Amino acid sequence: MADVLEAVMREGRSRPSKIMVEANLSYDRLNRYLEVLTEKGLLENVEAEGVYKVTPDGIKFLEEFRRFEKLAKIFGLEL
Amino acid sequence: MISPLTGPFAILRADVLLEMISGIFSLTIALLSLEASRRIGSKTLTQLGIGFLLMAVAMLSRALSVSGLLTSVGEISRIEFLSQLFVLEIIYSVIRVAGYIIFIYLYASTMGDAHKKASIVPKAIAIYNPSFELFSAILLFFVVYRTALNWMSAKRHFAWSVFLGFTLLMGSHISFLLSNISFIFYLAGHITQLISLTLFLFAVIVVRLNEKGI
Repeated sequence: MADVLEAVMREGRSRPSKIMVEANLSYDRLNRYLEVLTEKGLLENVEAEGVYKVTPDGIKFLEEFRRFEKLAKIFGLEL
Repeated sequence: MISPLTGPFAILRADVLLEMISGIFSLTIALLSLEASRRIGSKTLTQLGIGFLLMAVAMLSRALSVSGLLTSVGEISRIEFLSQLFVLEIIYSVIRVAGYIIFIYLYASTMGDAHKKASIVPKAIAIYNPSFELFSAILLFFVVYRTALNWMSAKRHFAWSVFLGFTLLMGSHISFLLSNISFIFYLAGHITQLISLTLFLFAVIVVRLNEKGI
């Protein structure tokens, strides 16, 4: 899910087809992640434009994720 | 009747103190990992936290119960004392091994190969040896191998600390295994265990301080 957020964040706002390529996900899995991330308020679906953008909560989550990823990595683990 | 200040029981007091400090360090690592996992919903950090939590529970409960037992040492017979100590050791061993099995599962999960992932935990359980120390050392060998690969391949900051920590933890069990030969090994085991947990705590704290920009 962090990969999806990162992909959207890189572009500022992004279409699902672009996110799918950037995050290297199947269509079904991407849809599931987009649904979860939108429900949690980390992504916002701008329906009029057909794009997703990262919310302030999403940015905060991503920052925390990157920090804790370092903790996992020194133990040789992947989040 | 036996005296708490004579013979091998005098050593137990150093054991209790060192085990208590190690337990507190392990609990701190567990709480930091579990807090991180709560914030980002990571299963990996939850498992890491639970592994250290089980180690902490084992060490703190042994330290507290053994110190409680030592206070009643003048009132009970040697047989009673040793049998209660034996029961405490069994409980301690089971909890601690449970923590190590979580570590094994965690590191096996990072192997990426589904077949290996599924088979490694039952294999680890199958090689159970009645000697807890030997069994623990064998379990930790796999974790040491994985953390060595991580340290050598990625050259991440403080990955050496985690590798050295697990190596010393494994060494502490080997040292405990040799404690029948001499009490030096017994004390060395506790000191090595404390150093290993200090190294883990050092790595976790440094990473957490860096994330705050300190």
